[in-house]
Formats: sequence, structure tokens, C-alpha cells
Amino acid sequence: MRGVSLEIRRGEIHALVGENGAGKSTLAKIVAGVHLPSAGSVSVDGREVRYRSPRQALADGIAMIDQELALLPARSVIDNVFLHSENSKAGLLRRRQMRERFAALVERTGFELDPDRTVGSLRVAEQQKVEIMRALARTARLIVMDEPTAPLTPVEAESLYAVMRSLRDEGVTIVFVSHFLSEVLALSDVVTVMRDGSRVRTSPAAEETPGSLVEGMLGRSLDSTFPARPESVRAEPRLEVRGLCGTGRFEDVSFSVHAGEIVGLAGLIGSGRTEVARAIFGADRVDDGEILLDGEPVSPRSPRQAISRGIALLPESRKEQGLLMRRSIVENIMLPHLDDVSSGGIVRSARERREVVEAMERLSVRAAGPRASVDTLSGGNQQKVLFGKWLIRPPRVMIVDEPTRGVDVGAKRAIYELIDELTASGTAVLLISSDLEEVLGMAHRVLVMRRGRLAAEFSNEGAERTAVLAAAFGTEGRG
Amino acid sequence: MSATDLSAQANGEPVAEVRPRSRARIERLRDFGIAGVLLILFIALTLSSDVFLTSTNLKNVAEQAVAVGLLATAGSLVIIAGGFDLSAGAIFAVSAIVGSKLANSTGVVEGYLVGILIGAALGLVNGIICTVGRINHFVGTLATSIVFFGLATKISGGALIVVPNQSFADLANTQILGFKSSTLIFVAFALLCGFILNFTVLGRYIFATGGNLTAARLSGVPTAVTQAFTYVLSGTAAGLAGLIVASRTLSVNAQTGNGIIYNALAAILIGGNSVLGGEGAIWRTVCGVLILALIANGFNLLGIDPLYQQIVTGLIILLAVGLDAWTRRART
Amino acid sequence: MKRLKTSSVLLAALCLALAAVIAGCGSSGSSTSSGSGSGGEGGEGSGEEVKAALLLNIYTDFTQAGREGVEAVIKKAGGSVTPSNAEFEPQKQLAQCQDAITSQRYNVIILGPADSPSSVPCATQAGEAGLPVIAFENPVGPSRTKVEPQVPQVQGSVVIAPMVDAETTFELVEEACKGLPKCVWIDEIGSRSSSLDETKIQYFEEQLKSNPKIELAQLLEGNYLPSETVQKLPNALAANPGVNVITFESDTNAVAAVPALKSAGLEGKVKLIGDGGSVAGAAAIKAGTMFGSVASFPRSMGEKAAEMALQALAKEKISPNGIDMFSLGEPVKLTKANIAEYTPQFGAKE
Repeated sequence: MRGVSLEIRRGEIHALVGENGAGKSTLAKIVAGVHLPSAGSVSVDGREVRYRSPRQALADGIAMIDQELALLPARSVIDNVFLHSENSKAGLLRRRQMRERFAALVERTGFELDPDRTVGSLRVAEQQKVEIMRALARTARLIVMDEPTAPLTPVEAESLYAVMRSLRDEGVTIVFVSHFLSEVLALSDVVTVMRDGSRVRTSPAAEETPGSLVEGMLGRSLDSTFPARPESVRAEPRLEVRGLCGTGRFEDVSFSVHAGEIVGLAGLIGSGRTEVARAIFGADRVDDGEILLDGEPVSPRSPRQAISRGIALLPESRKEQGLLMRRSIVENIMLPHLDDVSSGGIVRSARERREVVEAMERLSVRAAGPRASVDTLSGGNQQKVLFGKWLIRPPRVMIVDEPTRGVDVGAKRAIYELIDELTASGTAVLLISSDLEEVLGMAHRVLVMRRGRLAAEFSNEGAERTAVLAAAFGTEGRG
Repeated sequence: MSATDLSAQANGEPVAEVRPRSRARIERLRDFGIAGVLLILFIALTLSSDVFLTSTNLKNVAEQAVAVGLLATAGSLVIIAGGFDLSAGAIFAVSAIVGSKLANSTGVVEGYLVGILIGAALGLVNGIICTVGRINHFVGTLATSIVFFGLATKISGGALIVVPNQSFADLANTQILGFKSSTLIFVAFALLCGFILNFTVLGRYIFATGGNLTAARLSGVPTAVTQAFTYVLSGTAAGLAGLIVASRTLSVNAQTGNGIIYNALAAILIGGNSVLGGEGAIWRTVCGVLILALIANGFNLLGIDPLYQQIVTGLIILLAVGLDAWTRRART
Repeated sequence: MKRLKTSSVLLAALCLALAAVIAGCGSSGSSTSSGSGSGGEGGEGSGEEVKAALLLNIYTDFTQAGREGVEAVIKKAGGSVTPSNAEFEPQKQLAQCQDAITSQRYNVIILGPADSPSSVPCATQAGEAGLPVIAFENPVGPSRTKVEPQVPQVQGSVVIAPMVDAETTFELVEEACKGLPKCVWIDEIGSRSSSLDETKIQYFEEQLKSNPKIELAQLLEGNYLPSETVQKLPNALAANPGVNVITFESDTNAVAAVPALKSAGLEGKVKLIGDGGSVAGAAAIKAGTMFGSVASFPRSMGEKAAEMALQALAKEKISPNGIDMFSLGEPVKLTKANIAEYTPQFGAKE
């Protein structure tokens, strides 16, 4: 990041947008005292400050809510909310006072949280509420939020918007980083666009459109977010699922995906989408039902068996489930295919290197080289590596779970093109996503899950945003 | 207090690029660190003792490092695969005792073979407990180590087992190309471990399993088999080490190998391998083993009160762990 | 960049400190031995200055008394003694032995084996290098009970005969049980996996066959630690309320057990027999809290080993070349009746 000057006014919602690596998170972290600027200055209330730690920033009323939440999962909600702002007398906690403060915070935010639940048992959206309450408990006047809605369902995101607005109305300043441009425009007062570590412009949100933001971020206009839907659907069903049951997770799920087809699987988080995918992939138990691959019944009992049959899964969290962060690109991409590049158990490194270099070119992965450790790459490039794992040997069925989470606009488009490339080679794709635009933009057909069951199916033409949402929430009857 | 006015300016070096570049440098520093400690130790000993740099002495050091070295190199694989084997010392004792008893009752070669097989079998028990049984690796192998030491005492009847047959000593003491066979066995074993780790599919699986169990499983890595294999290898190495020690002294009892596992673990950590798994190298472990062996050798050569040896051993462990912690902090 | 620099400076500093410690120890070590070497002029008749490596099994007050005995004699002859500690590990001791030979700093080895049969390679290698070996405390060779040298490289042997210890302990038990129609006995041992302890137990079991009145009710593993003994004793007392005699692996453990007996209400009802005849043990026998103990003479044993070392260097004939420690002093079986005649050779004073 270089030479960025920025003014944030009291009581405004200030959005930072830009591609990954554009420097918006770095800027946010400098404001919150997580990073120290190598040159330049930060002033708060006209006074120049130089924070060496988030703690010092906090003393000035600046709190940060990171993408990865910083909570103590084994402790209760109330303990987390009042961490470092406990009421105490002579080192003893004053529980009654803390309860009263908690009740006041609940009133202020409208977050109905049980103070005694352990934070680890809460869903991500609720954990985020705990973080916000904690920031408020520390009398924060400026809250920095990095991608606050990324892990949330649309409804949860809506309620977060409401809270952010009411905080603003109380005079709290909010700086937030987001990839969702519609959200940025609807919510913020001021938008700062960043590109390549520099500020492009800061302007009132009312003066911007999604197109103008994208143009500012990329330095060029993007024709369309989604590539043209490929006309590659073939007649024969690749994957058929009949009456699949996983006790307590999902029931009676039946659908099929044809070769060359992209089927979107929408639904709220917890509706059983990921669970169905894991069951097909052999990662979880199946209690009843059939899975057919090209008409032949398969029942993979482990991911290894599924992979050998030609089923691949791109997991929803690349850091936790997808990549070996500290290992090289080569090792990550070749991990499922080592048998092909080895003889007698010994890896032929020249052969594997050749394949990986080729794949990296095709995916346009930006990295120091094929031996570069994956954690040195940007989020979008990491996601490309994750894709590369399956792209070099296109599977018969590919399940992609939240393929563009935490990925910037430019890389999103690249990933969509990769998915299309897969279908062109005859792969059947099952696309799971919380991003409705993505599902509607990419899929030939959309399936909606609710409470572990398939609730509705829409063909591409008939799929309307509202109808899909209604099916996901179970409000079709009421309109 | 009119308005929260905040302006951030940053000039000069691009912040975002600092991390990877300095990381590569710290990575090198880390490598240099442990080899540097070894080198300094070597130079210090060469300067302070006339006989340190003689082939007899260096061969002695190598021979003295064999038992700990076998346990440590195999143990590194267990740790890199995300496991932890606390029971290798106990397997060492069981194998040595069973091997010696069998050498007396049946034959020397049968003693060797069965001793090593017992080691592999007990390693498999560990592997099954920790993977299929889903028991925490520390707790699981702590428990089996107690069981195995009990087995060792039971099988030996608490008594010392003496092997009168001199040919039992051949495993450790045969001279090949001027080196003792035990030393050569260790060198071969360390090379084998390094080869597995760096050049084979299994090695990739070991790194993957320890680095991210979920990601490895979802990529089709047979994680349980991989971890179980490392335990079997560790058990085999422990068995081999037990037999070498028994063969060196032609006698063994249940107390043999009591403290050896701690030396082996210390060597692994001193080398700079991470306890968290997914990272590490055999050459690091070998560095750790040699450092420990050189310290002991140096103090013996110089005739120092053993008290100093403990203090310095402790200081070196601190140094190694400190190095590891610094690089880790630079990464986040 | 800044952090990088600090950490590399820190690393360099630590390495230097390490090197300094090692080099420092090196110089201080060599000055000690040369200083004591030049202290006296020549050995007893032999032209060669004695430089003894004393390989001890473990550092305890007992082995320290032995070490003092060795040092007293050798320093008087103008030589030096360098001790090492194997911490019960035969492999560690073998390494110490090899290194001592390689260092060429010594001309005689006094070997206190961590384990008798495992110590043979040390003696063999010393012999190959032309160094005489004196066995000290434990025998060197396949037998753990034989007093005489068992391998040719061992020129003299002054050791604790385990059978004498076992016999004397059993005699004390018999005495303590005298007059009782039935005698319940608890034996606290070090460890079942110790071959020495196992030898004693086997002897006891043999003797019990011809002594039906005495019942060995329980074996207690104290692992050589008073703390563990004290922790386990109450359970054993609860299980055997009619206990008459308790034997202990050491006097220290016996003395440490007294409070446990008090709280079990058995004080004065049970006879305690220790082992070793330490300063504290002798005092307890005098005071009547302990019934008896087996004497030991570590300092005399050390002196004898050192004399043998001097003789070996002077190429004199060592005769006898196998000495049992219990023959170096009197009395061996300690009770209140004879404790006044006994001078303890190790242990903290009261």
C-alpha cells in the first residue's frame, strides 16, 4: 500500500472496496492498530497517533472485527462480550452489574443472545453479534469490519445492516470492507475505491453504481460478472441421487445432474446443502438411498473411493478443508493424483512439475513459482490452486461448495470461467452457494433445500430471485 | 471533539509485499540456525579437546547416537504426520527382551527377526488406537507405553536377560568398511526415512495428513493408513534400536530404554521440527541427534562434572524452541 | 526488517553464549585436573601420575561417600579423579567410558557399573587401550553376585555382595519375629524391574519355605523414593493391620515411614528394618524407632578401590583381587545392641 490519504467522518458508514490485494484490509488494519504504517501518519480527532497494538487503538475507541472472529469459543457469550471490560472490584467479578450492562446492550442492538451459552456452540452470524456487542461494551466509537457479511445468509446480513445503520444513527463510525457491491451501495454513506495499494477515489455512495465501482476497482469495465451459460448439457444423466437419507441431516433427497450441466443448490446455511454434498462424496455416512454414477450404483465409503470413481468436492473453507497452507502449489495440486505421476511409490518430480506449471499457466495463478508455499498467495490465487487440483484431471462429477467466498470480483469471473471449462469437458457440476446472484447467474437449473429436504426446483428461465428466496424460507404460500 | 477525523498515510515500501520476502529470509535463518548451533559446537569441541577430531572419537560419537537416532528419525515421521509416539521407549524394551530371550532359546537370527516384528506389531497397535480408535495421540501412546513397559517387566520376569552366545553381538559390532554395523544401520535408516519423506507418494501423504487432516482426507489421502504406517515404522525402529543395544551389551532388562524416548523427542524438537505436524525434515532431526551426542561426548572428553551437561542441554533446547517460536511469529 | 535484525542478533548472541559456556567449562575442567595433578609429587613408588576416571552409576549420598574415599587416597598419591554420572543408564555409561578412553586423559578406570553384564564392553575397550579397570560397588561381568573379577581386564574388584545384604536382612527379620506365633511382614523394595531387588526377593522366598511362621504379606514398590514409599504405605498398613515387621529398601525410607505408622496407630507395634546404616539410620536405631539395619562402608570401599588402582598402575600384584564391601567394617548386622560400635560412613548428619 502506498501513499493513501483518507478522511473518515464521525457517524458515517464508510465502505472500502477493491480487489483482493488492493490494500483495503491493510488500510483497515492500520486504522485499527493491527499493522503499523511504514511511513505516514494516522490522526484521531485531529490528534496524531501511532498505534503499536490493537489495545492502544481500543483505548481511543477504535475496535476491529476481523474476518476470522477473535473469540474464546469455550467461554460464555457474556464472558466474551466483557472480555477486558469486566466490572470488577478488587479483582473479583461483579456479575450482577455485568448482567445489567448485558441487558442494556441487548436493548440497544436488538441481539437476543443467551448470555450463558458457550460461543463455540453459536452459529457464525451469532458469533459476529458477540463481536459487535464486545466492541460496543468497550465503548467503541469507530468499528472496523472486514467482510462482515461473507459468512452470513441473506436474512442474517439484512439484520446486520439494520444494526449498522442504527449504530451510525447513534454516532458510531463504521468502516467496512466488502466484496458485495450491492450491499456497499445500499448501506454506506461514503465509498472508497482502492486499486493496487492506492486510493482511486472517495465519493458519496449515492453517486456510485455497481458498474462504476467495478470500473474503479479494475481500472476497466467488466462486461458482465457471469460468463455466458455454456450450451454443453448432454442428454445422459451423470449423477443421480435417489431417496438419499442421512439421519438428522437430510431426508429423501433425489435429483440428477447431467453431463455438462451446472445445477445450483441453494438454501439457507444449515438447510443440509453441504451435508448432501459430503454424503455423495463419501465423507459422511449415508443411511438410505442410492447414488448412481453414469447409471451405475456407487456408494463411496470414503472420499478416496469417491475420487477414484470420478467424484470431486471443492470444500467450502479452503483454509480449513481445502489446502495445505504451508506446502507448495505442486504438492497441493498433485495430492489427489499422485498415483498418476509416480511409479513404484516414488514421485516423478519432473513429470509432476510439468503438469503443474501447465495448470498454473492455464489458471493464470500468480506465484513465485510452482514450489511457492500456498500461504504466500492471495485469496483468489489460493482458490485457483484449489480448483487446479481437480481441473488437471476433470472428474465426472464436481461438487463446488461456496467457490467464490472471500474472492474479489476479478477472480470471481475467472473462477466462473473455470467452472464452465469443466462443464465443456463433460463434467457434471453441482454448485452450492449462499450467493443467490451466483447460483442464478451460473446454473442451468436451481434446486432449493430447506430443513434437510429439497423444497423446490427451478429451471434457468423460471428462476426468480424472490421465488428462490421464498422457497428457501418456506414462505411460498404467503407469497 | 467535533468529528472523528482520521487520516491514514503510508509511503515508501509496499506493505503487502514485505511478508513473503522476509519470510523466505527467516526460513533460511531458521535452517542456518540449527546447523549453525551444530557447527559452533563442533568448532568449540575441536578447539577445546585434542582428541575430539580423531576418527576413533567421531566413530564413537556416531555409535553412541545410534539408538536415540533410530527412535528420533522414525519419530519425526510420526510427528510430521500429525501423530506423537511416546511409547517407542517401551517398545524398545519389549523388543530387546523378546529378541534376547529368543536368541537364547531358538536362535540369534530368529531373535533379531521376531524382535523387530514385535516392534512393528506394537507400532501397529498404537496406529490402530490413534486412528481407528480416535484416541488422542499423546494420551493413547502414553497409555500404551505404560502397558508395554509392564509387558517388558512381565516377559523378563523382572530379571536381567543375558545372552551368552557371542554371535548375538554381530548386529551391532560387525566391522564394515571401518564402521560398526550399528552406525551403518542408522545411516541407512535415516536415509530411508528422508527418501520416504521427500520422494515418495507416502511422503506426500505424511505431510498432507499432518498439515491439514481434513483437506488431506477430502483430497483422497488415506489418512488413517498413513498415520498408522508412521507408527509401525516408529515401532520397527524402536525394535531395531532395542536389539542393537542388547546386542552391544549382550544383556537387557526391563529398565533398558527408560529415558531414551525423551532424548529422542528432544532431538526432534532441537532440530526445529514442529510438534504440530505437517512440517519438518529428517536432516533436522539428525542435527538434533548429533547436537545431543556432541554435548555428551564433549563433556565426557573434557571430564566435566555431569551437572553442567544438564544445564547446557537445557539451554540448547531453549535455543531451538526459541528459534522455532520466532519464525512462527513472523509467519502470522 | 527490524524484527529480522533483532532475531538474528539474538540468535548470534545465544550461539556465542553457548560456545562460551562450552569453552569455559573446558578450560575450568582442565585447570582443575592439572591443578590437583601438580599438587603432589609423584605416586607411591610408581613413576606415573594417577589420573583416574571414576564412572559412577548415580549421584547419591552413598556414592558420594565412595567418591570421597577414592579421592582421598588418589589425591594423597598426587593424582586426580574425574567423576561422571550414568544416571542408571548402561548405554550412557558405555558412552562415558568410550569417551574417557578416547580422551587419553586417564590411565586407570574405576568403574561403578550401572548394570553388571552391560558393563563388560567398557572393560573390554579399556583393556584394548591398555587401561586397567577396577570394579567398584557392583561387579563387572555376567554375574551380579560374584565378588572376584569376572573378565581379564578387571584387575581388582571391591563390590557390595547382594547375597550378604539379603542374608543379613532376613536374619534381622527372623530376630524381629522371635517369640511371635505368627509374624506378618511387609517388604518395601525399590522396583520389581530391578534385577538386584529381584535377587533379594528370590532369596527371601527361598528362606520363607523353611520358616512357616513368617508370612511375607505384601511387596511394596517405592521406586527408590521416600515420597512414593510414604504415599503407598498407608494402603499397605490398612490392608495388613496385624503387621509385625516392615523392611525397607533404605534407612531413609524407614525413617520417613514413621509418621505414617503413627497416624495408623501402629507406632511401636511394628518393627522397622532399614538398609544401609546411614547417619540417620544409626541414630534411629539408637533411639529405638528402628529395629535394625544392614551396615555399609562406602567410603572404605572407595579407598580400597583407589588403592587397587594405584597398585594396578604400579604393576603390583593385587591380592586379594576380589573384596566384598561387608568385609571392610564391623558390625554388619546393626541392632540397638551393637550400634555403639558402628560408625556410619554416609548420609546427612542430624
